[in-house]
Amino acid sequence: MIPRFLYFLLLLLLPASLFAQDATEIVRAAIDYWRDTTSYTEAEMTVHRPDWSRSMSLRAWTKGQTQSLVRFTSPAKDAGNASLRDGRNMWSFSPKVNKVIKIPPSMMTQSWMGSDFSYNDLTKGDDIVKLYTHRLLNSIQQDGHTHFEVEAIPFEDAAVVWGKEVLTIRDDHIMLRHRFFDQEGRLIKELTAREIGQLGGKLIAKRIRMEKVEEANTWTEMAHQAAQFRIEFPESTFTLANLSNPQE
Amino acid sequence: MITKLAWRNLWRHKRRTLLSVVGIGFAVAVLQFFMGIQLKSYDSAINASVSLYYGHLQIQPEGYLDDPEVRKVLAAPQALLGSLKSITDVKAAALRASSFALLSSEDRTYGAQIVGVEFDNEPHVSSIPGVIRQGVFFTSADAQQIIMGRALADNLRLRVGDSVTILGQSRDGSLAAMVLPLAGIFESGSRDLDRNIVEMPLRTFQENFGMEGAAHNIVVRARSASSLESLRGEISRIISRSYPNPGTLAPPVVLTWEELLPGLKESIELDMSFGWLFYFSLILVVTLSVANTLLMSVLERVREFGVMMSLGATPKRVAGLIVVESLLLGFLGVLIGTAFGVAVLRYYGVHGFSIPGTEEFLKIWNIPGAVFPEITFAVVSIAPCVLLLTVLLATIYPVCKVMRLTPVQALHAV
Amino acid sequence: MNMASSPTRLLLTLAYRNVCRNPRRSVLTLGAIIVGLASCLMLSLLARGISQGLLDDTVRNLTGHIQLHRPEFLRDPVIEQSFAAENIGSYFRGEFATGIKHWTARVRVPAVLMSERESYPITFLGVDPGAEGKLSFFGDGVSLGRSLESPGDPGVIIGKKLLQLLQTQVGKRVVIMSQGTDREINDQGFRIVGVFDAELDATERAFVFTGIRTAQKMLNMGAQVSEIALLVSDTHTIEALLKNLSHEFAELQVLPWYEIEPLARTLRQIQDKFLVFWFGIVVVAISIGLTNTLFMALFERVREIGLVQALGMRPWQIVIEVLCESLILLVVGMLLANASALLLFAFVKNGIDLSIFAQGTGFIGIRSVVIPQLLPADWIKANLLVLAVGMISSFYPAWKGSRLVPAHAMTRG
Repeated sequence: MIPRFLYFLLLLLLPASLFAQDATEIVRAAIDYWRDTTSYTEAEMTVHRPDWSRSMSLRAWTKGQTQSLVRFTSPAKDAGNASLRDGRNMWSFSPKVNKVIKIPPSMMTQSWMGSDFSYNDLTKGDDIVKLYTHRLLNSIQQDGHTHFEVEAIPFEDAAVVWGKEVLTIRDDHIMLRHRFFDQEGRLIKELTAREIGQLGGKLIAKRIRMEKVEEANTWTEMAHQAAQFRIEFPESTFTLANLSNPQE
Repeated sequence: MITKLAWRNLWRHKRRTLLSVVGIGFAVAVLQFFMGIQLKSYDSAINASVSLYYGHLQIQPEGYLDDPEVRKVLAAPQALLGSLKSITDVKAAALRASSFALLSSEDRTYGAQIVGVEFDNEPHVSSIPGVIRQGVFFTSADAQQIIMGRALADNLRLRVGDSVTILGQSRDGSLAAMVLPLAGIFESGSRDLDRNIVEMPLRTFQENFGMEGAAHNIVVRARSASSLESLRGEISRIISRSYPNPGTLAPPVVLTWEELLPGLKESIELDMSFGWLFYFSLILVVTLSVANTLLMSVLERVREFGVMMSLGATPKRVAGLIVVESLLLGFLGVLIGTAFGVAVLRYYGVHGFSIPGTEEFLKIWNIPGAVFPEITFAVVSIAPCVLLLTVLLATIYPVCKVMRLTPVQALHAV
Repeated sequence: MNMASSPTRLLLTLAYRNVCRNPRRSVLTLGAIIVGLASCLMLSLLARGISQGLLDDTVRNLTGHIQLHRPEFLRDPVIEQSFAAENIGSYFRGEFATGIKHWTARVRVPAVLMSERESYPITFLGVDPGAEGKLSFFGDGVSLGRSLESPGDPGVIIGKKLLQLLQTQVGKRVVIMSQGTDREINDQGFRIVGVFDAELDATERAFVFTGIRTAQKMLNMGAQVSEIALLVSDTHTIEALLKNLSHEFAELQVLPWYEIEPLARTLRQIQDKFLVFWFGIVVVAISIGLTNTLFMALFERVREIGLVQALGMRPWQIVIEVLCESLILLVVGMLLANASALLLFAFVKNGIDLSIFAQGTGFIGIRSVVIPQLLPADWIKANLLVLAVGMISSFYPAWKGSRLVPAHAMTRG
């Protein structure tokens, strides 16, 4: 039974890197939890602007941190459009033209399906773990959970435009908030979990919203309706052939 | 009275007067000719860019020039287009809609700007439909076809008839995808346009990119490049009438080619100032010759002035006489010079002037090798005014000399 | 007076004395000659300076005098068109080293540069700072920050206009994305270490430099390069060098600058013709004035001419004498004109600043600081023209003067 203050003292004496490691671990755990080894989700993506709004239904398959396939199912004009990601590369398929096109660098920064995510954003995977140093800013108790606030600073030559990113992660590995700051420290965009609930046997952020801070009323929201984790996918799922010839 | 005397004095020395007049006239004619060529070639340069693609004026949504997003549209362009056609200064107007897209052929993918153009109106505002080297500029207003520049076609390894896959962003953000055949290949002479512009019929664009009848700009071709500001004002008035309460929806803006192509204006101004460097050397030479002649003649006639002054003429009067003589000389020179200048301009206005040997070079870049100068007020009036001024300036020294004369000095001079 | 012995010397002496006798008249005439000729010479200095600047800029805008690259590269400047360059370096150092002043190898690929808010298409260049500096505008250095220090420098230099568009500063990070040889997306973060100023906004927007090894590594190029540019010591040897290089490196395309940017050369040729044409015009103006003054001068001396004739001087000798006077004036005028133009040249040798028109010069691609160029051919042409036309226009007055009948002449005045 160590007296409280001694415990505190020990904590103070621990090198900061241990804290960093903790911070990195927190982020890694959250990313791993979110992606799991494999996942299949059905979701509705809503793009909202000051003067209009649009919703699309999609299905997504992911494997590990580097592979994913997204196929849109509705509305009719978007149905069948699909995107395949492998590492840093993205391909797009449109049944209307029946052609698979690799997205070149000039298009990577364009918005994906009109949302506030660019093609590039979708390829980030676990970059947030691998390309940054992390620092635990603070941890607060809220609603019976511990919320960790972690600051992530990209490596010198990391392919990251942001000055820093701040993640708010709950002790059950759910990412509550992900904020993106420019190199002057201004908040540019923010990804927030708006609804947390059970899906596919896990507690996950069911609704997440990406919001552009500098523009009013401009956001994209992904609302998951169904999810399954750790399922077996056939080898051919994440191939160009599958992208253009869906088996289901 | 003085004028008559002055005139008679001038013709007492026929050869001298004639030579001076010829000198002044020569300078005036040369200046008029070159200015005519210069100003017309600027006009041509502006016209070349304007008529190639950009138009004299464009009506665009506010903020579109700096940040062209497919979402920024002109909501009811047809109505606006209609009211434009009623303005007399508007020679032609056409709607356009555009978006950045990826073009993909068999094995290559390139990004380019897709522009939807009106089949009927576009040929009147742009010369691209007229420089299609292979194939055609669409077979109809609804044709599901595209045309592109030679450079882009080469990069994509395409020939007329080949199919191209196009992936872009619709007005509402969804994916716009289509496969269209290449109907024609154009060579505009502008590397920029040949590499980056792909055109399709406006209706096809509107359909494929979910435009719902909207467009991104209206290109206007004016009757002449000179009165653009007043035309802009007129169009702005029409626009504000259809947008009485701006509020949240900002009314479209009217931009001239100067704002669409800012560098062109400055390069013209630069060239004009270089032109003046050349003109200056000629004017200087002529002025000095006239001054020289004038001074010599004044010195020669000192005795004569002495006689006049002893008869009661004041130095001022004598000086006045000299000035009038010079002015008459100047006017004569300017008149003759203008006559020649205008005649030469007229001739080349019909037959075209080109620096010999340069025509072939310039044709490669679609820069017209021959210039057809126009006789405008500016061209004809600047040179005479300047020369008259310099002739006046040339009288200063002789006049000063005369003012200081006394009759005695004058009579004793040899 | 012994007219028989050395009449020419006598005539010359007479001419000289006549010129000196009436200084005011002579000076005025000289004035017209000097101003006319000097203005032609100064125009030449300026105009040639501008066109040479245009040529220099074309060469320095990464083109170099000669470029080597894969045959398809000019049309399709992508990474697939790169080649191995190890043996080329040793070749340049060898037997042809004398003809080639500087050379450098580059990586050049299309890429996208991204900041937090914006992204722009760029041409990404991997260079060897030392060699590149001697060849292209890269050697002009940076207006902010520092330049690249080695082929492996991990920083980037961007243009001033691009810095403005990105709304960023030196020291900030950007991400550059391109496609590697394996068609894989390659991207990397770079810190902006310096900013360059170029004449053209377009240049400042398009080019981004980094160390060549940094670029090769990012793009998985190994030791391959996109192009080699070289500068020759004497532009007249370009043709010969082209032949040798094409022969030696048959698998590459070897191009001279004027085939890569033919417009610059055309403009120069147009200017050649126009400048001489304009000289002609100015000289005609001079000659009109000269004729006039000569006539006036002559008729001031009617009595004197009558006297000389009465003393035995023959008409053709009068003609020669008058022509000599003109010659003296012309020669003196030419000397003074050339001297003053040379003086001006020495004074502005380092450049005339036209920055008031900076934007306009940027558009048509000439520098706003013009370095005047002394082209002997121009100067010779101008001088000869003035001399020839001056003498021709003296002939009429001289002839007229010689036709004066002594009796009439002597009683005039």
